[in-house]
Amino acid sequence: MNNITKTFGSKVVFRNLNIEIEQGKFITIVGKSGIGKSTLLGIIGSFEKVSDGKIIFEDREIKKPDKNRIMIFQSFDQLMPWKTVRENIEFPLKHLDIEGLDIENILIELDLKDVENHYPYQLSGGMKQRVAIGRSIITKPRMLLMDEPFGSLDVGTRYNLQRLLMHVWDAYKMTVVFVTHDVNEAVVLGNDIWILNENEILQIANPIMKPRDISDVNFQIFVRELVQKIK
Amino acid sequence: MYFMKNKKLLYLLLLIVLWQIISMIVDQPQLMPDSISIFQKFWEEMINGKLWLYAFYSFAAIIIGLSISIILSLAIALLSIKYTWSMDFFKFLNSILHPLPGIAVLPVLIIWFGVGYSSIFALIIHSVLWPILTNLFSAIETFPKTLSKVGDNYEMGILKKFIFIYIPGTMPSFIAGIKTGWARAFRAVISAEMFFGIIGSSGGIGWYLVKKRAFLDTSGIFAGLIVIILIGMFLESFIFDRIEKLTLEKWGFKI
Amino acid sequence: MKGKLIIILIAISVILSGCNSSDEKVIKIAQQYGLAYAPLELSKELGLIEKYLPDYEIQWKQIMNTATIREGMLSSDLDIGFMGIPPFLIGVDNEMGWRIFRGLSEAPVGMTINTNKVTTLDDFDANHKIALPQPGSIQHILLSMFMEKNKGQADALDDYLISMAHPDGQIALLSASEVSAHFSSPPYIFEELKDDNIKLLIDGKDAFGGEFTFIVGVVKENFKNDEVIVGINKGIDEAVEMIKTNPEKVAELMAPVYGLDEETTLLYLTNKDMDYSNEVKGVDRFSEFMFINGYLEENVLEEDVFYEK
Repeated sequence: MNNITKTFGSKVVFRNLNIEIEQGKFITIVGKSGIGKSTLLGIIGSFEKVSDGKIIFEDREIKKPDKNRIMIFQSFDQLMPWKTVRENIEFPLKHLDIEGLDIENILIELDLKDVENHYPYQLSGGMKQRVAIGRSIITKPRMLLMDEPFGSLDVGTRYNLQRLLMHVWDAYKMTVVFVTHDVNEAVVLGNDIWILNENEILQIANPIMKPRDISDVNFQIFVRELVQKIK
Repeated sequence: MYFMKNKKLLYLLLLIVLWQIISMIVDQPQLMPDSISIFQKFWEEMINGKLWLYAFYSFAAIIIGLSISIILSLAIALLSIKYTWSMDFFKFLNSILHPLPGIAVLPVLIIWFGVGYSSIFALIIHSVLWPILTNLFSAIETFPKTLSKVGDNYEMGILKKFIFIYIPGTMPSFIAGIKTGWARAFRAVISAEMFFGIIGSSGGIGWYLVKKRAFLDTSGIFAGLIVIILIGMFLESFIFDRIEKLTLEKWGFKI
Repeated sequence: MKGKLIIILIAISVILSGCNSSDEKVIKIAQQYGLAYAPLELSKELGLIEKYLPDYEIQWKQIMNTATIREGMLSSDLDIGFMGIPPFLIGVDNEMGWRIFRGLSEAPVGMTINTNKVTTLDDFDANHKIALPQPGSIQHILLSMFMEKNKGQADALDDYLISMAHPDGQIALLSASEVSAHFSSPPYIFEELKDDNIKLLIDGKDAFGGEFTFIVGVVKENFKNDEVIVGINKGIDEAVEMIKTNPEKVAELMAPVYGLDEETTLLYLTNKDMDYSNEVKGVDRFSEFMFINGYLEENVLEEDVFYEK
């Protein structure tokens, strides 16, 4: 089981925060902008240093980023412009001595087969994020950390990518922590929705059954409840 | 493209004809030899093997000096990615030394390294290193943090990250730096050779010019100038253009 | 638009004509640096030429090497220049219209070596180079003459030459650089020989096989003006005479020019091998040697290159 404990001393952002992420869950984090959602995610991935406290992953304390917890960013420049779609996805396998997923399957599942030899500058925003997802799952990480990955996409593309991400999660069963400012997106995706307020995290189980439909009345009521809890 | 080439040829032809007419009017071969005797001289000097040997010496010196500079600049860049003080220090050094023309530091280099190849290499390194570093530093500063984080995520060490992420990622600036540096180096080498050229078998194209000048061989001087132009064009349109096509254009850095 | 063009054209022609008209009464003389040019320095200092040519303005130009003087005369930027015989002959060979109008000096030129680095002619290689002003200079030709005489091959050491102005050559010879020898002239050669490690390996007179004029005065053919040449000659002759009759006074005047003290200057000026005169010796011998060894395409004859009234 994943046991993550964090305590922060001097930093004002979080003070003595204790959270635990259960394996296999899809957790979405929402909160006001500037409240520290990305910082929290960065701490989980060890990209941000903690001023005090520990991060325990599977009973071991960790201090540096590693291949078990892969980060996916919002910005498109996380892809390497000098590599094709296929080379970008394969990149981690070239540098890690592990057996990954089959590249062909990934290309097909993410609908990238047609553009596998394209360079990033030739791709649309949605395609770029699909490549980023492909690259992050090829090493079968235990945990995916996603920092508003669909933040700069239009509504239609966003919807499609959400479906795709759910599908990927179902297929590969990794833990996902997904930061978003869009409460609808949080409810569509998460088993648990965490509301990050100043110095507190409200952890709320998602009562809406899949497939979750934005136009459903219950969905909308639940979203409204959540919005009221964001301070 | 073909039309463009044709046009350039046309301009060249026009230039040669114009030159011929003016030189016939001037009618003083020491001032302005006619185009035919320049080409004759050029051909003669190429055939008997001397001119291309001189050109080869200069060219080889530049290539070696350029390679040393590239290795040095990469080492400094690596150090500067790892330590901020290194970046600060070399930026400071760069701001002092970059504006110094190569030919101006030559007297100092001669005192330190003598009149042989060491001085020439030192001169080339001075001419090339700073432009490359200027470009590399600005590229490193604006380098996407996310890409560096991707490297961390796959547990790449600083060296691996440097080779597989930073070097290709900063390629456009790197190539731009080398281009500026090469032009500076070429000028510096020719001036250095003219300033203290090594006479005889191991002199470069600059020395060739000195000799031709000493013997008042004006067509010879022009033959040397043609070689310098050809070398410049060769590097520009064959080497650099090709590298850019294979990298920058393909990657969408430059369309 | 048209009006502007006309104005520009007029402006240009005014500027150009301005240049021409002021040229008429100006004489531009180029010299180099060294003890052999002492009569010129003296004439300049005392205004001796102006004395005989009161209607003319004399402009002196000190130039670092012969090639530049030659180019200046070629572009009509200079009227009169002083140089060694070989560079003059190279000009004649390349159809430069110029003539020798007088000799200026004979001087002890030669090649000095740093005995810490080399001791014989066989010691030279890529790490032991010979500094001299430039290929085709009188120093280079004298070295070639010596090599032809002693090794049967004029260009035997040409691969190890390096082009340096005399002051740089002197520093390089004395320092721990690749320069192991220096073919130079006074005062540099005198200064070098003061050092215990420096030895004269080649004497210019031995190389040449007799006496020769080191520096000659050259005038452009299209500058043919007997009045001016006579005036210049009178002025320089007076300076030569003064060096002979009153060397102490000359040394006092010249010491600051050469950056030496008066005593040393006097010693150098009165050196038995320093001879200032208007005689020209050695043109035929230089020409023949340079022709045979490919430095000239034609054998230039003395009688064809002297200035005639």
